[in-house]
Amino acid sequence: MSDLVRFELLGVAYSIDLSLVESIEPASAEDMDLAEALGVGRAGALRPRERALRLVGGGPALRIGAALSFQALGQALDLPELARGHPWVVGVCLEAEGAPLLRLQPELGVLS
Amino acid sequence: MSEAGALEDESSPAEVAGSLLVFRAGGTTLGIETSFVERLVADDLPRTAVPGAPAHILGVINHRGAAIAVLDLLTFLALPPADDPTRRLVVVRAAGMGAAIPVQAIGGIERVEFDFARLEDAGALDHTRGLLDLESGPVYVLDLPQLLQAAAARPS
Repeated sequence: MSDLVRFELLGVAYSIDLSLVESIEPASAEDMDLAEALGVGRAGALRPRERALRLVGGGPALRIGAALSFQALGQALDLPELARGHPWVVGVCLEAEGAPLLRLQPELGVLS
Repeated sequence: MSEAGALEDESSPAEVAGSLLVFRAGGTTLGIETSFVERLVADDLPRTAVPGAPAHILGVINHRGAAIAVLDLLTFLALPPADDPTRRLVVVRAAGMGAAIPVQAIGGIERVEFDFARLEDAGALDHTRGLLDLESGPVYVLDLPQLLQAAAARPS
């Protein structure tokens, strides 16, 4: 069962719970640049096969790059208190090995 | 000081026997009470940078099923850097928070008797209990609970 949509922005892996996702569609220039919204850089020009997520709560679609996959949730934990900062980064998902996968819960009203 | 005063000082209940983990971060020798230290691990675990986290948080790591924030003391305490890379992580827990601190070298565990109230002033170095003069040299003793609380509260 797939619980997460996993994608990469500027070399860092992120995830969004599938239950928050309304649709996944080809990205367009009008979509929100998620990397910029997170303050980690800019996605730049649209690339072939780039995708965007539209969330069940409405709002603009979010550009999430082209490297997209689905996976089970695994061990979900809160973000360590010391590392809290951006309101959309709500936790981590730990896998058997490798770096923690950040879990995003975009609330589009927070940054607008 | 009178003799009576000296005797009173020697029997002070504030005199504490304890042990310190001594390590080097950048070019500075620091100590943490071992009661706050959970483990030492190699600094080779993959990190994930966290958007919006303060500059002194280098990311989070997965260590044995726990997500731990990596706290850069050089940035947080404005310590001078070193040429050599960090080799170990000191995993600590205090004030209800865990953290992994990258260090250049572990000096060892020092059994010491000291009175926190009488430690030499650490000068401009924040979040310390003071400066302790060991045979191996001066060691800044970190006030870890205060340090972690400040690291969680203060962006840098």
